[in-house]
Amino acid sequence: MGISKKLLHNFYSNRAENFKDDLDGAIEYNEFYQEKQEVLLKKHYDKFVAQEQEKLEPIRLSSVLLKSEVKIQVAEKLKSYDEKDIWRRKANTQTQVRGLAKATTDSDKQKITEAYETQLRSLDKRREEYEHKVTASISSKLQSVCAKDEKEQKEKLAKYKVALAESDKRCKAEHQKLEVQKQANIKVFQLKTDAKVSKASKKYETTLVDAKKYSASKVDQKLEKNVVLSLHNLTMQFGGLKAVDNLSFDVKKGEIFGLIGPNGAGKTTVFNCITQFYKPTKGEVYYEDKTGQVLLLNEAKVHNVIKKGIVRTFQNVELVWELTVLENLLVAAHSLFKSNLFDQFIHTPKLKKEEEMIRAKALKVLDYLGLTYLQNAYPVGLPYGILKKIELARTLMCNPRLIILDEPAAGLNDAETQELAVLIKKIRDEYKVTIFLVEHDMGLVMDICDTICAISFGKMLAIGTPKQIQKDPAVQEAYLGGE
Amino acid sequence: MGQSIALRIKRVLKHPLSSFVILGIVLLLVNVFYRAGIIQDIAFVRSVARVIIYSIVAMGFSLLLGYAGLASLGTSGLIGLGAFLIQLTYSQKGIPMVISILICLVIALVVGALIGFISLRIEGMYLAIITLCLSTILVELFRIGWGTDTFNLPRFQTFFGKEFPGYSSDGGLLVRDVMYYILVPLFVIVAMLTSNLMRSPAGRAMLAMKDSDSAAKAMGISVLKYRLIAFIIATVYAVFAGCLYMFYFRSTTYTDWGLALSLNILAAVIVGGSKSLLGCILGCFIIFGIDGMFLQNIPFFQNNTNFIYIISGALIIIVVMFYPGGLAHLWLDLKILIRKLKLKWRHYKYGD
Repeated sequence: MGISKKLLHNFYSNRAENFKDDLDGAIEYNEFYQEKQEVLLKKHYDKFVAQEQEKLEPIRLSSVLLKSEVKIQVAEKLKSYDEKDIWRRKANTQTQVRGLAKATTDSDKQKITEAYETQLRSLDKRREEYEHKVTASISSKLQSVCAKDEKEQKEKLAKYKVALAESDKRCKAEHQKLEVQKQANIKVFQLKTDAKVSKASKKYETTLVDAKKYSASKVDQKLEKNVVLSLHNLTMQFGGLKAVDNLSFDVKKGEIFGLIGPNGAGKTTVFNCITQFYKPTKGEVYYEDKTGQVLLLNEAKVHNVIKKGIVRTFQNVELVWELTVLENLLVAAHSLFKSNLFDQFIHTPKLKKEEEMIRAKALKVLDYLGLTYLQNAYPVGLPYGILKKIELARTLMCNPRLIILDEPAAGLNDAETQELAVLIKKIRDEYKVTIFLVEHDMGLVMDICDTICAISFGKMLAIGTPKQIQKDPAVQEAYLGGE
Repeated sequence: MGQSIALRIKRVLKHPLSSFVILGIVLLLVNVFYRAGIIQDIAFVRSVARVIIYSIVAMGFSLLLGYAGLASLGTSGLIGLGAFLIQLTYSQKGIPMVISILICLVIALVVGALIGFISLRIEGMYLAIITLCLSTILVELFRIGWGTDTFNLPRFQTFFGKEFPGYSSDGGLLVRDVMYYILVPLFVIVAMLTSNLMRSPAGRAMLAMKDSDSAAKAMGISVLKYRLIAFIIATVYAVFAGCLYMFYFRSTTYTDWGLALSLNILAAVIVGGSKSLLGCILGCFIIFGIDGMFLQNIPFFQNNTNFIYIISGALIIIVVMFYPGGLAHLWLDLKILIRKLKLKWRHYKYGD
């Protein structure tokens, strides 16, 4: 009975999660669709403008004098010719240099210099000939088109101005048309999304009710207001060693929470207990998710923790070395992909759509961190500071609510640490996330943290603001040693 | 206009799947040339078919080794499983060809899942040993079940209910030709599917899993799921290749599926480059193909038939020492070399 109940509960909660994923995915795609429409509009509009300009070209030509127009066009042609010509000249100089280095007698040197000069003269001649040829061909082409005298030019110019104004009007009308079309597209898509969302949310709620029916453990725990993560008497025991001993604290929404302690105090173990890499021996980890529901994290599987919005980094950089930086971010967004194995074998439109959206998102994150120029580089051999930044970028990929950083400043120099401090604050403010970090660099911790918790041998020493912690005698003893 | 067509062709060629289509066309031409009399030796066509069949195995193996980072030495037993299942279903029970292949694939799915579950607990060298044991057990089962005779598949009389085209001995297409023309498209399709999978979230997830289990878990990748997937795909490809082997070569004994074949496939994947499909195919060509295609005509190799093993052994040593990425890297290195030479030439001609 108990087993079947648990199975049913798992089944329904998995289903509910899937519906929730669908729902979130639809909303996210809708946002992406709107951005895409904007880009499309610009593309169409640019194309239209280019067409208009092409149409205007003969009218414009008829409104200018032959001489000035020929001058402009010949100058353009010559410019592109010179770009090639400069290489010929360089090669010539290089030949001379090489020859002079080899030559021993004066007569040889003289010969080489002569050859250099004749080549130079022939190049000059070639350029002149080219100029003549181009001038002749362009002027013969434009003769019939361009205005012959100033009187005609004035007439045509007026005409051209009228045409220009008309084309401007047309462009504006086209822009308006495209805008209307875009709005209509967005509206239609919005309706579709709304339908999908309402369907999924209905299903989600009903399955959630079903799941609750069979739920064995009742999470009645109400967290205090504004608390995201709460540890209750957490204990982690490895054989006889208590790495974490009866630890309880709350992490508030939107704060930067620091966990400090001497080496071997059990900080990383606390992280691993929160992200379920270790199953705590005793005690509970409560977490309030996006919908305001309180979850008991002890029940979650390691790879599902990220779906609840908890992302972590590692002490040593754990990137995928065989993938480019951009692909590394795509891996980090793995939990956002909903296409199944069949989609991936065939590369169906569904997968392509998802991939497009997540790629755009990754590019946005890279842009945010100023790493766009590295998108196609492999992480092997990049400086350590940049690797750490890529790790940070990865945490931003999957809509996090709580980012857990394991020694983000380890191995960074002072300047990089300063930059990191600014970046962490910026991320907290702009992505509206809570940040929970372990750090040895006291400067960084005291600088950015709102609340600090000090632990030693798995036990809590003190919790409070940076100033309180600095003054605390127990903390001082743990770090500096007792009498 | 002409330029736009050239551009379009360039764009098509840039698509990652185009290379497989071109390869498929070249492979089809082999048999066409044989029929036209340009290629004289039937052994050449048979060697190409062998390369194609083992390439299918190698592609699954490259997904397993290069992407998921799991080592297996049981590949040959699984190919043999395919061959003997065809023997059982097709020739003994008389089940039609397509259905018997489908049955084999379903059984492969189950076997792959079983091995996958084993792989969750065991890693690295120990996994290789376990898969080796499984393969030995399978081969022993073939020996008990079918004895030590060579088995020949009965000739197809009909194909999809119709008389086999040109079955009569007076000229026309032979059965093997038709099988060859079926084999090549299947090979191309499998290559495309695998390439697609490698370039999608699953492929990237497997790479992440190979580098670090815990990092993969932290990113929401279920290690259990992707290990299972890798093993199932590798097993299904191996069994499928076994079926195709049986339908093309139409005879087998249990001694064909020993450790040597597993090692050869491992060698092919390592020599070619475990993360590149084209590299794997190249590796199979070197290990399984060169011997039958070219070397058999040289008297020295006719007298010393095992000399090819010395060559392939030396090749493996060279590749592992100097080209850990496999021969697929050679192409990249060549590109870089050309670029460097160009730069040097520029420097020589134009100065700084």
